[in-house]
Amino acid sequence: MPKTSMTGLVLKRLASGLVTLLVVSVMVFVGTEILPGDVAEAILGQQATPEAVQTLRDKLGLDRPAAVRYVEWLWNFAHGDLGQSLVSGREISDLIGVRLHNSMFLALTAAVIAIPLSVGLGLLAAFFEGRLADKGITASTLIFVSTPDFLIGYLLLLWGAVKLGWFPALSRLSSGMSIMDQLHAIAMPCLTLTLVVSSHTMRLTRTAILSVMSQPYIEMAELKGVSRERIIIRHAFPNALSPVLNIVLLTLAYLIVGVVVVEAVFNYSGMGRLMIDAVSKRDMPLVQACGLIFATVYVLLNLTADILSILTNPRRRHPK
Amino acid sequence: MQIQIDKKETGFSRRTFLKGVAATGILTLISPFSTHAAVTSGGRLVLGTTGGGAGDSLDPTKLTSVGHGVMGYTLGNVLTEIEKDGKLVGEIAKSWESSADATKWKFTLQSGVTFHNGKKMTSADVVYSINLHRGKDSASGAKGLLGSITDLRPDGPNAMIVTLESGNADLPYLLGDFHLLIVPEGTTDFSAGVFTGPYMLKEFVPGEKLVAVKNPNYWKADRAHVDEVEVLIIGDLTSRISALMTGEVHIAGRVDPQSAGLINSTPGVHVENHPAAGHRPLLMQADRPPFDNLDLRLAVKYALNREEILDKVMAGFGSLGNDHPIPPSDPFHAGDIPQRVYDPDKTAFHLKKSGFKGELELHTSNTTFGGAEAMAALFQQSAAKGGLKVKILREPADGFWSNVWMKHPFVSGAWGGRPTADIMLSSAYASTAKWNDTNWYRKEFDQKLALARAETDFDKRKAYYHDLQLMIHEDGGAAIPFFVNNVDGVRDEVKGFYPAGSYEMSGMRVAERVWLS
Repeated sequence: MPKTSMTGLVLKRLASGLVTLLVVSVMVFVGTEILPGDVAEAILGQQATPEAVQTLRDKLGLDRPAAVRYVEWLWNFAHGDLGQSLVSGREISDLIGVRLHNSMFLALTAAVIAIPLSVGLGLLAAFFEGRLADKGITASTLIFVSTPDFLIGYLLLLWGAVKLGWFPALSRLSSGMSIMDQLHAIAMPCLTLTLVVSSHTMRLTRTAILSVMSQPYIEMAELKGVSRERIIIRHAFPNALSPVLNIVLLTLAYLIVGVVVVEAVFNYSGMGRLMIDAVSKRDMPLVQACGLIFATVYVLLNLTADILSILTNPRRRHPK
Repeated sequence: MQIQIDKKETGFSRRTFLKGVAATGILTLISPFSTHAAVTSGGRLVLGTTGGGAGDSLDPTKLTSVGHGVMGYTLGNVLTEIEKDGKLVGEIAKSWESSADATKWKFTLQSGVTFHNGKKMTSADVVYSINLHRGKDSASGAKGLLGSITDLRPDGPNAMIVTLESGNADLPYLLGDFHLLIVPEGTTDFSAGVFTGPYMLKEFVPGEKLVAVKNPNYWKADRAHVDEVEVLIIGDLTSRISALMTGEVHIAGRVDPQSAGLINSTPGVHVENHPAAGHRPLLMQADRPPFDNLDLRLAVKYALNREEILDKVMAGFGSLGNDHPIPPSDPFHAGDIPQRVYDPDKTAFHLKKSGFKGELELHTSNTTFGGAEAMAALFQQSAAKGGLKVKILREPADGFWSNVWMKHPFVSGAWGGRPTADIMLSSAYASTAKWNDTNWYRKEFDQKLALARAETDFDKRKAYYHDLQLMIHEDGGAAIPFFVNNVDGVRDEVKGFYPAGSYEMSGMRVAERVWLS
């Protein structure tokens, strides 16, 4: 029965997702512990006196064994208490709220543009395989995929903001802004992300379609005299949907967790900048919270990708 | 003949008249302070600064960076203030006097100062504010500055008595530190941002921005010219400069020397820069091999091509260093010590005399300052000409200050400017200094430093400091090629900006000093 196997699979994946998150939290903790220096040194800066550092360390309870601090954090976390930032003493849920919203807004806007664009370009490239359009699309996306995202960001900053003055150099959202103003404010980081991820998605879509195109049944359709357009849209694309959906969801995951550098370039206040701050200040509970949010997004989107790929692939719905 | 003379006369007088007009015009331009008519009120000033994070707060004991300092001075005041040319003037403290040995001080306070919440400020508030940073439990960045204070108490509502463990003529300078903002007595939660300063808190988003509106009851009549100030934290240098170019910020703090030229060549923006006390030494640990040998230390000092380093690494934004940490801008700078110059022959001479045959390992990282690795490479080349072999070891940025600095015998270092010569020398060259990063211990130096600190006569003090600088120059373990400049990018519509103190952004006090035309 497909239904039970589906529920079983979802449960199994959710359970393994939980284990993944636990492993991630251990790794994040160990990572922040391995980093040289601690939160007390980071807060007080390079030229703080050792006494001041020790005082703060005592205040924050940093001299207790690492394992004790981890278990204490995990216990509170499991009870829904994200804890307080070590640096500011503020509730982490307060710190994250707006920034998570900002990051999601940027990532989803970029996704709305990037995904249809890149899937469409992938289809076009597959349609004109080996011809000028295909080569043009492939070459231009190759340029963007091999350019680091911060460089694309800086180039857009130079032209879009400094030279032409179309967009602001600082992407800032504030509560009173209309949706158009908000979109205007994030236009350049959004474009940067679109350029960065589109090439991946486009190239993978093209490959997925072309690999289906080499199947015997496509050859059959060609021999029957079906037009190339129709073959791609009616026969190849539905069969390539499973890998394409996978790509799309992974792209989405990348957009949400991969905005760190782009946020820094455009001074956009999102999760990425928060996490950079937290890491540089060794603010363990805050790093943990950011890390787990990113990991959860990744796990859930992966799970969705799996489920969708099963739903779109009859063969996987009925495993032997 | 007659006509010619007439013509000449008229022409001459007309020209003189025009020249006169021009000169008047130029004078007005040069000294906008001469007349108050030049000041225009109103507008919204946006500052792009550095050094903030999500953990920021308005608690004065938790301020650490220049960005925090700019926010602090936007909202508050401290006891003293450094004006143009490093001159110390009173702020909340109107005047002060000390005993002859500089151990007992009396500060008379401004009367008629009110907090943003309407409460009148008294000496009890001032004492409370300073005490926040003192004591065993203090984790404030200003704790070290106040270490020698043994007692602090009000003397009536408008004065305060300070007693020190040992004499310190610089106490008024120390009390101008940006942490020591005056808050209402008893404040423990600083989120409301109640201070005495030029602007009142409207919005504070940690790590992002501070928005403040003009304080209508500000006690200084000639300060705080704009209606609203926004201080933005923009950590990324390129975004900061872009925002300056597009006009999203009026002033971008801490611009790198390489971009400064670019900013100056762009219409509508310019660079304000002035010599500061920060320096970037090569640190040799003088108490252990190989640098326990004075000749080897001298070989290194002569091997630095200072002019080339200043020119190539700092694009000329700085001043030459002479292997002691007191900059030319300091009143106690010993200008008569001959400038040490690059001399490969002298390097070869001292190297030979030292008997050192091996290769020096220089540990460096750009985390000390952006050009540290470039400077190390230039040093390597110039040293080779004197036969001194140097190997450059690049260290990771993370942990440089805890694992490399003060651990290896030869490292790149970085010192930010200190407000006074005494603080600089006591922090890095006294035998007991926690950050004596050249492991240089000299009894004679320590004794003279204590004498200089307690001396209230300027000329006598200057003579002491001269000897101290000479000792470091000749014998010390720090090779100091240059002092940095503070460089800010400023839009042309910002008027009244002047550099002051050891920090950028007009000593971080830019918000109350400038106006927009």
